[in-house]
This record gives sequence, structure tokens and C-alpha cells, in this order.
Amino acid sequence: MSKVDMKSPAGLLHSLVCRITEKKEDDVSPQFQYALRVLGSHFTPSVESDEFQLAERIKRKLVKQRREGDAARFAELHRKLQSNNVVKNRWAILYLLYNLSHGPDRPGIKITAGEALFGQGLPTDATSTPFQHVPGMPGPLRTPMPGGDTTGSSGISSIHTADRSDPTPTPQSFPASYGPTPGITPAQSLSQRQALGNRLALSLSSRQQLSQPHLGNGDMSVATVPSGRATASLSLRPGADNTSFELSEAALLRDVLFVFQGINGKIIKMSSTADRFLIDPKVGVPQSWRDLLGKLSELGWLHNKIRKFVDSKISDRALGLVGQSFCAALQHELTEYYRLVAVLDAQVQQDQDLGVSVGSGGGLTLRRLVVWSYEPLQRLKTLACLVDSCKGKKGGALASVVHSYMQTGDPSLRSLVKHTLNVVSQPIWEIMEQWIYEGDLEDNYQEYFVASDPTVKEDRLWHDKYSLRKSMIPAFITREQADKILLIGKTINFIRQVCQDRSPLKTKAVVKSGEAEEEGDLFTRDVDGSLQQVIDTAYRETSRILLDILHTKYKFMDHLKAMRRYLLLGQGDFIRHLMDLLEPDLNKPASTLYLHNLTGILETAIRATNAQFDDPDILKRIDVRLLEVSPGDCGWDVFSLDYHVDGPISTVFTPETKIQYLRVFNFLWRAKRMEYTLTEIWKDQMTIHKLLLKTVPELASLLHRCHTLSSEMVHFINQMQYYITFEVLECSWDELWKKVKESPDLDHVIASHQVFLDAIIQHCLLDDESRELLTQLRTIFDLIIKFQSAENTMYKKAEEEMNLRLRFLRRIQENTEKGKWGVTELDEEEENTRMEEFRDKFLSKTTSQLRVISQSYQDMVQNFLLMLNEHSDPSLRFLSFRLDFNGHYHQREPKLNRSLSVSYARTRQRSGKDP
Amino acid sequence: MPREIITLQLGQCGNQIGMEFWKQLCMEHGISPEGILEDYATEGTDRKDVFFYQADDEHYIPRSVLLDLEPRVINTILNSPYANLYNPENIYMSTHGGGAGNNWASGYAQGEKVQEEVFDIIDREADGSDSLEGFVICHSIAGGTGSGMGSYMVEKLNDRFPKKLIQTYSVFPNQDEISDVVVQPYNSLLTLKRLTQNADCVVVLDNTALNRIAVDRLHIQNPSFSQINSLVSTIMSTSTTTLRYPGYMNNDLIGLIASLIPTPRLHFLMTGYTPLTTDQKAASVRKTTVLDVMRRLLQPKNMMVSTDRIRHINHCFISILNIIQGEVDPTQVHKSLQRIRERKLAQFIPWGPASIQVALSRKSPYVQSAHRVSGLMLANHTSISSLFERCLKQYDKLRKREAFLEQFRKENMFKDNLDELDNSREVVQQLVDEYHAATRPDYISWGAQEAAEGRS
Repeated sequence: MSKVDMKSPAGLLHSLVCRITEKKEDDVSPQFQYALRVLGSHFTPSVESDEFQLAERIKRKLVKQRREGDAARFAELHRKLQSNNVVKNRWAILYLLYNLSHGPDRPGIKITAGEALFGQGLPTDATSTPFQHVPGMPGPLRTPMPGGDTTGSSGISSIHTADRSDPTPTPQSFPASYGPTPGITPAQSLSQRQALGNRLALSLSSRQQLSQPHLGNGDMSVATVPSGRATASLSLRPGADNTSFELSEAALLRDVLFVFQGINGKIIKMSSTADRFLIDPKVGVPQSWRDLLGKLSELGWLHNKIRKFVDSKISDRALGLVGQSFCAALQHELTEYYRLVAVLDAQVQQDQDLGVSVGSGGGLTLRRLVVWSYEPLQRLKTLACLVDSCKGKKGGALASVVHSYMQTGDPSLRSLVKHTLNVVSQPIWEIMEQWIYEGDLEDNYQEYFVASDPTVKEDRLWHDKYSLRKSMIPAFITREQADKILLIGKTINFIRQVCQDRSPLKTKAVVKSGEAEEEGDLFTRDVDGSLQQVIDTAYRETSRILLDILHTKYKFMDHLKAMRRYLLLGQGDFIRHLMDLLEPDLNKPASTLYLHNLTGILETAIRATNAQFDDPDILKRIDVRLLEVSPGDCGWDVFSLDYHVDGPISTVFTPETKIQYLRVFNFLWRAKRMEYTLTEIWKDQMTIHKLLLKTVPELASLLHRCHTLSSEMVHFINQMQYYITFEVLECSWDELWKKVKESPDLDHVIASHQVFLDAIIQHCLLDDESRELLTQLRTIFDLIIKFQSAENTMYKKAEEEMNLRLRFLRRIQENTEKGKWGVTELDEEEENTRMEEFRDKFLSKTTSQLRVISQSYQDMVQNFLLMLNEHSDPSLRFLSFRLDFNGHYHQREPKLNRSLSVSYARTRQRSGKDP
Repeated sequence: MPREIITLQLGQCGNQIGMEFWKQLCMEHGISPEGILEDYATEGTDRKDVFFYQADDEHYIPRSVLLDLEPRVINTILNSPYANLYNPENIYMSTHGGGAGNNWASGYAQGEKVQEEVFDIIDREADGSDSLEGFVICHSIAGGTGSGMGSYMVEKLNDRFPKKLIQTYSVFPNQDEISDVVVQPYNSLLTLKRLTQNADCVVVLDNTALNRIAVDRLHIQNPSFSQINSLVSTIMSTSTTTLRYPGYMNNDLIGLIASLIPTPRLHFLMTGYTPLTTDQKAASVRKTTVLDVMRRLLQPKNMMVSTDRIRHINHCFISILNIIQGEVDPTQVHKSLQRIRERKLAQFIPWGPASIQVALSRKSPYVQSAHRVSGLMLANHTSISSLFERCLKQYDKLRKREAFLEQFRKENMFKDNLDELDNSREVVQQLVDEYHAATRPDYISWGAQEAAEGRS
């Protein structure tokens, strides 16, 4: 192409082409030729040039975009334009502007698109079509036209083609790709906030919106208004190329839109056998379209699937709140989807209305539809998956399933799932709020992960009433959190129902004050850790309140101490005095005991000892309890102290723990009785020793034996008692006290108390493993009792003998005083035989009896020590270490020697640091 | 209140240490010198009633009987701030006020004379208690009143209250200095016989050792009586803490001493206390853990009885009770015991099981102590016999010369013969023999030999 007159339309076109392609004048000739050809082609306006209709459409569009103000302004401007006759082809201008409002406005896109268009389209056109004259298509250059028009229309054409065949509408559906353009931002944020379903629609409208300034200003393009004819012919061009398919594609589009809504179209129908939409095979549709339609119809299938689920469940009350929320979320998504379909439908309608043939300009094509529906397809797919997985699930389990779909890398899908999850977990969060702030469990559908058993009475409320429904714990709540949540509500209920404390809890205020940001939803909370924070704060607060109540109002610590003082014999003076008072009664057979007598004695003992200074509330809880009497039991075997607990305290001191306490009491009481018995023995020995030896010196050896044996027993029992005091009671108590003081909640208190009791039970030989040891110990105890009675018999006999001798001596004295012989021979002989008898029969008998007792006692103790050494509990070896501190037993028993040294080595190893 | 204990304080020494003892108890229980409970003493977990009873008003009155044959010491008490503490009816001073003249026989005889009045007091006290546990007698064995009248009282109490315990805190004379009481060996011997035969438990407070401890451990050049007596009162009060602050164990006197005394005659206990401080030197910096305390208690230098090392006899512990006070971690007790056993820090009897018993006791909240942990040891050790042997030796020396016996012959008991002295010597000798026997494994059959010897 040679020189072109710069003023002529051709010249202007040329310079326009140069401007657009940003190339030098000489280089643009192919593009220029193409532009000429396009302009020269004989367009016939397929769109009816109805100015009114067009104006209305623009207004409608503006209104739809909520730009009522602009719409009004447009109407005003349009009216002015109409009254002013300067511009002739108003319709063409409006149409141009209207179409411009669809087009991408970024210069970059425009240009690259134009280039691509030129680059692609030109060679084929250039080769297939003679340059200057297409027959039947008068070149625009020859057509006398207002100069500006041509350039204007060519501009439009390039924009339009770019828009139409722009291969990148996909990014448009992703808001992110709009990022660089500032003008898009509001639309973008809008589309983000709204569900994604209408994003496509928005992106369509946003383009419109963007072109609005042009429209609003409406002035600068007036000079270059294209001729109506040119524009019309331009927009018709592609349609003219595909005449044969035009109707078909439009029909198909319509069908597809039906299918999108899950309704059978004219040629695309749901096949129940194949469970998919099929195109009527008889209808001639090109294979490529069939493929596209196949793809598109998936959307319908998915829609149906979701729809069916929603319809079937939405009225199903058994589904529960979470299920309903899920349905609502689905419904919402569907609504968004419908909006899209509506927009598409409008587009189709509009295309039809405008007479824009399918595939031209901004109109829809199947391919475009495929692209646009790509994202809704993904969304529906995800939703369909959710529907599948959530079938039959409810409550927290459902939320868990939804949560599992969060593990996708696709940000848009993730935000979809996240949204759904938010909706789904809302009821859970609401139940939880009620639960952790008020302790109310409004869970009519058993959806929450805390379950309550209404049959449980108050005394077991803490232990049994509430439990975790493991299946209902949403996946985004950890087990620990769930446990804590359970604990929080349980604590509140405990405070309310068991502690009878109705004062308002300020947990919520505390939680809220600690948490500045506004209430997010459950799931978001989980992500940023504020859920944990809420739980922790509520947990701390409620637990603190409960412990406060327990400590102040219910004096928990005092009860704990009372347990130790009375049931674990810590109040030594009281126990001792009680034994003093009870002894005569308890020596009787168990069946002759009367509870009221014993209770009276208990009262006396309390009043007489330091127990009297205790809290009256505690004292009135102490009671006597008689265990089940088996034949042959004496009072000692069945007597037991009891401590009544009620209210919140009984949650810690449950009947089970009380049984444990009773067992420990029984053991300690027996040991104490031995201590008591032995001091009695000792006292008797002291008295008798002073009394008897003067007159019955031959008893010395026997008594000495008794003394050494009893001192052995005293040692045994005392060491046993010291072991119980230090290794068992004191240590465990120290631990318990420390733990209880530090306990953050009632569960910890209960647990530490249980640990305390278990430790005592175990170390006091009361567990199963130590049964044999305990039996052995009981035998030793029995032997001590036997020893006492043997000794008492001996004392009685010896005292008799003493008295006889004393009487004899007195008689001698009396007789002497009377001046008679002190004794007759007969008397003396009698006295001597009696003494002989006492010595030979009684003494030897008692001595041998004592030897038997002594021997069996020592055997027993040695056995006991052996058993202790073989016991697995290391602390019991401490006992054996104490019992044989100076190695007395292990010198006598080689077997013991061995095992003792072994256990000793072990002990040393364990203590480690010992040099 | 059950298990009451009545205290008898006899003679100069007895009344002096008794006074210190009551001072200490008042302090620990928060009782003012007038016997009124102090305002701060509100913590009602201590048992005041073992040693005190409450009068009709708020007064706490010691279950104490003050006896002396001369008025000097008791008058001092009555002029002290503590004058109003005691029940005036419980104070008996001999009417003539001449004292016993450091003569056992005189003291014993005067005791016999005044017994009715004295036992009126004692009976009244005994009747005033729910279940009397026993008597505690404070006296010295060297002087006249404490030893002589004390001996009489021990015998008589044993007669009248055969089932009640008699525990004595007996001060033994200082062997290191020449006593101004020349008949001291006679007095001691005669008293020892009664202590052996009639008392259930004798806590030996050896002036020799007390002085030595005051000089060596407390660095007091010439320890005064009151300084020595404050040591004694510390021991007395600590040895009764488990009775006054009841716990799981050792809540009665009998339980306390039954475990210490295996056979009736071996009832002489020695004591040790650590850490020792006087008022001036309260801030001596020492580490005190349970192990430290228990280990120090086993050291002879901390014992309040001076015993001689005798080569040919392997002296040993018959029993030990450690009363530990203060902030004690119970787990430490076991470790300490283990350490002591491993290092063989204590030698025990070969004829029976024996070990260190440990009682943890609370401390009075009203008395501040510079130490975290303190401990008292009550021990039955065979080496205490050396004390008696020393007595015997000194007695033998005097007796050989028949010295200073005129004073004794004045009294009825010795008018005709000195059998009582010989008899006492025999009893004490037997005691020494038994202690020696207790160091041997065959002690278990000791009585048999004795009986056999007795018959032959």
C-alpha cells in the first residue's frame, strides 16, 4: 500500500492502525488491509436500530448494577441528546457505548488482543481473500462515509473481536486476574464477599460497569461515532459465517440452560438408565458440540444430585440442626448457582433480543459456556462430594466430614468448603456457647459431642452424667479441647445443681474481655487459636469458681484433713482415748455390740480429746460403723469409724473411695490395736516385775523371756507403724496436699485423691498382690494377742502363788508374834510341795508354752520378711529394711540374708545418688 | 482430758529445772506467766491438758506439785513472774525449813514424815484427772531433798499407784568438779536403787556432760545453773512434744517409753539434742537437714550423758527414738536411716531387733527457732552403766573408809545397820551387770542364768 491521504478515511484508518499496533507506518500494511477489508465488508445490521429499546436496556443494566443515580443521569442525558439534533445516529452511538461497556478496557489487553487477532486472522484472510475487493462487499474506502465513522467503527470492531474471541475469559472468572486494574477492585471485593456462584455474572456486569464512565461522560467518543450501518454489519460478520449452526447453537444453549437447572431440554434429556444427561442422538449435532454438551450437562447432573439431597433432607427434622445448616448452606450455594443460570439465561435472552447471533460479540457460545461454567462445575462437584460423604451423618460428625474437605489446595474450593463449614458448625458453636457459659445443653438432636444422661442423680453428676460422644467431636476440635469443653459445662452444672450455687457466672464477661476481636465463627476461631483461648479462659474461670466454692463454702480441705485425722487415725490422742474407752466393749463377741453404746463412747472420746476443737460440722459426720459380723469375730474385728459426706464433697469422697477408706481404717485400726495391746503388755510387765520378783524370784527367767519377746513385738509393731506413718501416710499426704493446692479443676482433685488412696492401699498391703503378706501379718497379730492372753494367765497364776506365799509368810509372822513356832512341819511341807509343783509343773509348762509362741512368732516374722523382700513394690522393702534395721533377723536366717542384700543393693541403686 | 501427767519437782535442783520446764511449756502453748492464754494463741491443735488444767476461770494451771524441805528456791519461784502460774495449794514447803542438809537419809525420813500432806496434794491432782498416765519427777540424785525425799516419793507412788507410770528426770552430779556435798556417793547410790526398782523410766541428765556441752559446744566459759537448766528444759519439753502435739504415733508417754525399754530394769535413757544454741549465739550458721540432725544425734559429744569408753565391753544402743521437729520432708527420714545403716553409725544390740525410731513432731507456732530442723534423741545405751559404775567406785571409796556415815546413822533406816547401803550397792551392781549382759547375744537367756545363780 502506497501513500495514503492522511485526511482521507483511509489515511485516518491507517494512522489508527499504526497507533493501535504501535508499529511504524510501513509495517502495518497487513493490518491496514485487514481493517479495510473488515470495514469494507457489507454489513447488514442484524440488530434492529431501536433507540428506545437500547436506552431502556442501558438503564436496566445500570439499575441492575445498583447504579440508579447513573441510570437517572443517563436518562437525562439521553433526553437532552434526543432534543438536540446535532447527532443523527444516536442509536449507533448508544449501541457502541453499550457494547463498549462489555469490552475489556485495559489498554494492554486491548492491544495484545488486537495483535493476536491481527496476527492470527490476517494471514488466512490475506491469502484467501483478495486484498482490495471482496465481491459483493464494497470496500469501505469507496463508500462515501463520514470520515470519522470508519475509524470509529474499526476501533469498535477490534475491541469486539478481541472480546469475542479472546481466548482468556477464564482469568476473568478468577477475580485475582483483575488485580492490576484499579477499576475492578470494588467489583472484585464484591465478588469475593458474595458467594462465588455469581462471580461470572459479576464479571460480566463489571465490564459493563467499567464502561460506564464512558457512557456517563458520553462526550469524547461523540466525535467518532461509527455509522450505524457499519456497526451493524460489523457485529453480524461472524454470524454470517456460521449461518448453518446459528439456530442450533442457540437452541442448544437454551437446552443447556435447562439442563443446568436439572430440567430436561428439548434434545438433552436425563437418561435414568445411564444416570446422566444425553443428547438426543437423532438430532444432528456436531461431535465437538456433543462433547461440550456432555461436559456441560455434568453440571445439571450435579445440580440434581444436590437438589435431591436438599429436598429430601430439608424437612427431615431428624437431621438435626447441623444437618439443616448443611442443607441451608447447600441451598445457598444452589441459589447462587441459580443466579448464574439466570444471568446466563438473561444473556441468551438478550442475545436473542438483540438479534445477536450466537457466538458473536458478547453473546454466549457453548465453548464460552464451558469455560464460564468451569468454576461452578468445580463447586458443584465439591458440594456433590460433600453430599455423598455427609449422607447419614449428623452433628459433629457431619462437621468433621466437611472439615476433611478443607484439605484442598484450590483456594476457591477451600473458601467454598470453609463457608459451608462455617454454616454447618454454627449450631455446634451455639450449643457450645450455651454449654460453656451457662452449662445448658440444648442438643435436641444428639449432635453435640457432650452427652448427658438424665437418669443420673446428683451425687453421681460429676462422674457419670456427662460424657463425650466421640463420634460427634468435629475434626477441628482436638480431643483435649473436647475434654476441656466437657469439663467446663460439667463444672457449671455441678456448681448449679450440686453446690446449689445460683450466683451468675461471669465467665462470659471474662472470656469476652480477654478477647478483643469480635466473635468469629467456630471454625475461624480454631484456626487462629482463639477457640483454644476461649476454652482455656472459660475452663480456668469456671474451675476456679468451683474450687472456690468447694474450698470456702464446703470446706473441702477441712474434710480432707478430717478424713486423715479420723479415718486414717491421724488424731492420735483421740484414737488412743477411743481405744481406752472401747476396749471393754470390743473384747466382747461382735454380736453383743450395740451401735448406740459405741456411738455414745465415740461422743465421749471426741469431747475428751483435742477432737473437740474441730469444726462441729465435721464432728457430727463422724460415726461408728459395724462391719458384717462373721462367727467368732470379736468387737475389734467389726468396729469401724465412718465419716458421712454429702453434697458436692461426696463427689470426691464417693462410696467407692469410702470403702477404700474403710479398708485402710481397718488395717490401721488393727495395727493400732497391736500397738495398744503391746503397751498394755509392757505396762503389766513393769508392774508385775516390781510386784512378783520379790516373792517369786524363780519367775525371773520366764519374765525375762516375756520381756525380750514382747520387746521384739513392740519393735515389730512400732517399725510397722513408723513405716505406715512415713513411707505411706506422710509422704502420700504431702503429695496429695501439694497436688490439691495446685489442682486447676475438680477432676484433678479427684484424681490426686484417688492416687493418694491407691498408694495407701497398695503400701498397706491391701491390694491383691499383697494378700499373702497381709495374711501373714494377721497371723503375727493373732500371735501377739495369743501371747498377751498366755501372759495374763501366767500372771494370774503367779499372782495366786505370790499371794499364797505372802499369806504363808504372814502366818509365820503372826504365829511368831503370838510366840508360837512360825510354821509347823506339816505346813512347811505343804508349802514346799506347792512351791515345787508351781515350779515344776506350772513354770515348765508355761516356759515351754512361751517357747512355742516365741518360736512361731520368730518364724512368722522371718517369713514375713522373706515375703516382703520378694514383693515387687519397692516401698515394702523399705518396711523390711526398717523391721530388720540391725540385721537381727538376717543373721538368723541365711535365706533372708541373701534376699535382703539383694533388695538392699536394689534400694541403693534406686536411690542412686548415695555415695 | 485423758492421759494426764502430774509433775513433781523436788529439792533445789528439781524445782529449778521444773521452773524452767514450765516456763518453756507456757511459751510453747502461748500461756502467759499468769496462766492466761495469750491472744495470739488461738490455734487449738496443741494438747495443753496433758500438763495443764483449766481453773474455773481462764487460768491454765500446771499439773505440778512443788516440794522442798527448804523455802529458798520455791520462794524464788514465788517472787518470779510465774508466781501466779502454780496452784498455791500444790506447793509444799517443810514447816521448819531446815532442808535435808544434803543428806539422803534426812530427806528420806522427812519425806516419810510429810507424806500425808504431800499425798493429799497428789491424790487431789490424781483425782482431778480423767485417766492419769503417770508422774514425772524432777530431782537431782546427789543432794538431800531431791535424792532422799525423791526416793521416798518414788517408792510411795509405786505403792499407791502401781499401774501408773513413773518417769524421772534425774540430774546426776558433775564428776569433773569436787562436790561440796561429801556424801554425794551415798546419796546417789541410795537413790539409784529406788530409780532402778521403782521408776519405769529415768531420763539421765548428767551434769558432767551438760557442763561439758555448755563449754565445748556453746562456748560458755563458766556455765551458770540457769544456762544448764535451760538445756534441761529444752530436753524435757522436746521429749514431751509428741504428747502435746498429737499425731499418728507416740501420743502417750507409755507408747513413747515402751518402745525404748525392753526389759524393766534397763530403763535409764540418755538424751542428745541438736542443734544447740543459747540466746547469745542464736545465729550460728549451720545446715540442718534431717540427716544432719540424725547423724549429729549419734555423736557422743552431743549426748547429755558423759560415758567412759570401756575397751572390753562392746557398748551398744538398745533402742533409739529421735524426735525431729521443724520443716521435715518425710521422705528424707528414710534416706537418713538408710545412710546411717550403711555407714554403721550406730551399733545395736546383738540379741534382738533394734532400730532408730523417728517421730516427727510439730513445733510450737509461738516459739521462733533459728533452725529449720532440730532433733532430740532419747536413747537406751548400755554405756550408761559406766555412770553407775562410777557411782559404785566413788561409793566404794567412801564406804571403805566408813566416812561421813554419822549423819546417816542418825536416821532410823541406818540406826541399826548399814544394810540398806549394801543392799543398794547390790542392786546397782546388778543393774550394771545387766547392762553389760545386754551387750552380749546371750542376754536373751540372761534371766535363766541369774535365776539359776539365785537358786544355787
